[in-house]
Amino acid sequence: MRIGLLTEGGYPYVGGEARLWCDRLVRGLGQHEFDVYALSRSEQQEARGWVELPPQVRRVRSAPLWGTGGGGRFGLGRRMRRGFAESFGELARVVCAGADDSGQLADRFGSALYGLADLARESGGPGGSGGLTGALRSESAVRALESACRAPGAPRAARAARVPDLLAVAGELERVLRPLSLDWYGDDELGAADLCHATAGGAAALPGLLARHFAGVPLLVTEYGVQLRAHYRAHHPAGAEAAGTGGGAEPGLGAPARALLASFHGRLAAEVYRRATVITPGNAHARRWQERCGADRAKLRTVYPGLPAGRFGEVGEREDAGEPLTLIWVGRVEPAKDLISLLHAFAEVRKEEPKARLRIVGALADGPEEAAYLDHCRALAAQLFPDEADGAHAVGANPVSFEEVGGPEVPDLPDAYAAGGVVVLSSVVEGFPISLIEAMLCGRATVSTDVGAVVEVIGGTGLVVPPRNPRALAQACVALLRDPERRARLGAAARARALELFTVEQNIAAFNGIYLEIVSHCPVRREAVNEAGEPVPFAHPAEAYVPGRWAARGGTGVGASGASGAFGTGGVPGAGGVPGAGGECATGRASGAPAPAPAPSWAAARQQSGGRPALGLGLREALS
Amino acid sequence: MTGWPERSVDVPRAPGGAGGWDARSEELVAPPSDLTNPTAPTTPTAPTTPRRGPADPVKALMHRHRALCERAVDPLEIAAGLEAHGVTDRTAARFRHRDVFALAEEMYARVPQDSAEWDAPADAAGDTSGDAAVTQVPSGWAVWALLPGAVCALAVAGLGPADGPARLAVGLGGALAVAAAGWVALRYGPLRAARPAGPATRAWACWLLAYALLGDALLRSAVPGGGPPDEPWVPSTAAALVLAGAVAPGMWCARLFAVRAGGRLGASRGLAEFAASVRPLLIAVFALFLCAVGVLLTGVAALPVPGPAAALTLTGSGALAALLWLGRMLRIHGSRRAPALVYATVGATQAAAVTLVFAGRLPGCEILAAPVERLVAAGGTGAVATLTCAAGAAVLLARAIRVLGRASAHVLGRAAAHTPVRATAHATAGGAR
Repeated sequence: MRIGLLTEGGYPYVGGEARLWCDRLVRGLGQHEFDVYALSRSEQQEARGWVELPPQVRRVRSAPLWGTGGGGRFGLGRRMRRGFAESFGELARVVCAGADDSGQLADRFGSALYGLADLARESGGPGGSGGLTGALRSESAVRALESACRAPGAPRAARAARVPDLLAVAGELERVLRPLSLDWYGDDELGAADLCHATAGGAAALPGLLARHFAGVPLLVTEYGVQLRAHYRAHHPAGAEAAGTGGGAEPGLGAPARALLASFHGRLAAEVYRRATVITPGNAHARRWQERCGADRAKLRTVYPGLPAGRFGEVGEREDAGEPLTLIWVGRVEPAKDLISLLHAFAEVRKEEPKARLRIVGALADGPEEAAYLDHCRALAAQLFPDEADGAHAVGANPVSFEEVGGPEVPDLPDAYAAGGVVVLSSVVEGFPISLIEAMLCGRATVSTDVGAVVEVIGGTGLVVPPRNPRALAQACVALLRDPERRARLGAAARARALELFTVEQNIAAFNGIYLEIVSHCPVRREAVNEAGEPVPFAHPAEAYVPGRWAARGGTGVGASGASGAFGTGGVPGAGGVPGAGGECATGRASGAPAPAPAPSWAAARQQSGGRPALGLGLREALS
Repeated sequence: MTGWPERSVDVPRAPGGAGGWDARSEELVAPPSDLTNPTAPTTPTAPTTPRRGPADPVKALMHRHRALCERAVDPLEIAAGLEAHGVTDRTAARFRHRDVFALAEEMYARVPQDSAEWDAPADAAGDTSGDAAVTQVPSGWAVWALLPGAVCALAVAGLGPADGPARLAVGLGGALAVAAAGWVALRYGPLRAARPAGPATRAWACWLLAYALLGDALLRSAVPGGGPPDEPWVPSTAAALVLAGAVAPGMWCARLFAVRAGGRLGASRGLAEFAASVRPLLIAVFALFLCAVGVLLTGVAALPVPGPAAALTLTGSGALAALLWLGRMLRIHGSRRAPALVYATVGATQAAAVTLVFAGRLPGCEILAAPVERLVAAGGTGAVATLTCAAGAAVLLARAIRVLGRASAHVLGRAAAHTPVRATAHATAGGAR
């Protein structure tokens, strides 16, 4: 089947966000065709070019979400201008209307958005550069925003908006809505896809919304970091600095502008979640945000990101359990990792186990702040722990060592984990802890702080202590250092858990299953045409249009049960049935018919079994 | 971290928090020894001095994150900020809330919301955005603005003593130097346009300049009553001096307008108010520019300049300076069509005038040249340029008053200066690896 992969600042660009994940997905699903539709975020990103693309990527279309975005200032005629004023005015009124959960505003937002999209499509035409961009940037857009803000009943934030706020909001709206005026929705482009897979919410999912609107293509949204949350963080310079992730947040946006933009992004996210057929958050945290933003629980399937298990798996397979009295910390050195607390905890450990060592394996620090933090940690370690030697004639060394991956001691990341018996994570802020998963894959027992998705990841296969509690951390470490048997048991359990949940294979199998499920539930109904472009009557069997339960009454019970058995309604994903179904689908596509059979027989069977299958993603039930 | 006083249950809070009390949260607010993982060893440690809990834990939390709370525009922003500081649902349970969202809602509801905070930052933000609104120009532009005029004056001074081929060389070299200086000044100064002009606009602007320099002499040689016959292909150095000298006041005035308009942008409450304040500003700045050009004209007229320098020739170049300045201002603010049209109309009229005069020499076609000849007889050869350019400038002024009164035009002016680079703050984008 043909999948339209929608990205923003992501996949085909070198250094894009989540590009490794997308790359693995595309390479792992070679039986499908991928068309990549990429929005780039900056000139630098575009200048750095694309990564190498596998052959299953048929086409890459890209468009900038930066700069002034082309000309076309005079693209709209009189009728178009009136239509624009109506649609954009409606959009502005919804954005300025404040909180209302009745669902009516969501409907109005959607209709205004699609009104604008229809307008852009009409005005675009062949070779037209899209009059919509110019119109969004024009005075009439700002005027519509102003009148919406001054309308009676507008919230205080909207009423307080001044001219710079209005301009900032209009500019951001123009930027985010730029996908509306792209020419991606033709019959041989996104309109021809069987499925749109948006790799992020927000602007990246906008082309998917339009493809759904124009051609009825189902939309799958995957979010590893919720776009709305990222928006809040990006517009909060102080917070972004504190989190150590701040880029150049836009300066000086007034409170009214931020309120209006937050409202717009919230509405956009809600519309995306409403229209999406399936939403796959990357962890429980993203899932909570999505639920909060109005995503229907029935659509949510958590699909954990996968790590290539090979490199780390080798370590896990070795008998060698690492040096028994060595604690390992791996990660990027920054204040959020709270190494200070780790050092204090290690001081407590040393009271109980004088032979213990701590190896801090850190990636190179990025900024001056991180470098200063590393120096501070080194100084603290030198103060807390004097160098010690074996005897009077040996050269001493500090029990705490700071190392870098690639150095002589630690040539490779798996070696870092292999070196110690216990891996420690001491963060106070954490997203999805990759280093924890790596440690699990290596079969190491772990002690970590209860932050972010740690509990979700670790399950019961490691020790978890509250953050900022060195004493508890130390006690847990000592308990593990003294008990090699428990260490081995926890390590094996962690390895088994990681291999089941956090490998690339499970990620790809889960997405493959979701693709097939979506296509079977929501096939795109297209008129079949022959080579000359004329409609072909009876190209689809009549059963294709019949609901599954009617077809089942005709006595196809055997086939139906067979198909549903192949799918599997739970348990381990990708247990043999799914790849077979994928192959069937791919060959059906490769036989040359430009339009796919709308609903294959197995789809009908699937519907017949009733409800949505859990499709092997019952992982979340296993989590606390 | 012993149990909080019962009073904290009664704190005002958002309704969402009331329902989130279940057995699990009860466990989580239990003393810290239960907080650790059940598999962890529960070695009995004598708790150090029990920390006294504040009467109102949420208040302490709000105090810790007061910058976040004051800035936040909705509860989700507080939730995002809290999460970035490591607050999780389990932390929120300690504050007797179901999750971070409920906690953030309470915090948002409890932030003292004075309306002054909403109205005031417009001034504070207005200043900053006012600064940002003004396009950054390289330092020293004010001096660079003088360069075309100075180069032209030098070239004209060099023309005086030179003779024969040396005069030609000095003239050509001077023309090239002035063109280069003018290009540099326009390219890097406050008169920099957001987007490059189209080829047609550029061609007509060149025609207008060429006519200002050569047109009068050409007409004078063609029209019988046009004055003392002169060499037709000698450019008017006085006009060149006026045009090159007008670059400096033009840039200063453009900068003045940009700075002032940026300030008013920040101070305005509404679009109508902004338009009402910026239109008089534009007229005032344009008048200032006209005054500066007038002073320049008088100065150049008083100089002993070689070449033809009739009074109306100079007026024509002054009008052309006004026309070009207005056209440039319009282009800076994103309006490209009006200047292109007006340049083309003015240039075509001038070309038609010259063509008609020469067509009148054909037998039987004297009638064609009659209107131009009558005009030249009435006002001298410079009347053609003066009339056409002044009319064009008037049209552009009307257009500029309309366009530059729009707030969106002032965004376009600076859009070229900095492309927005999105900040990407993904604390949770762990899947990126």
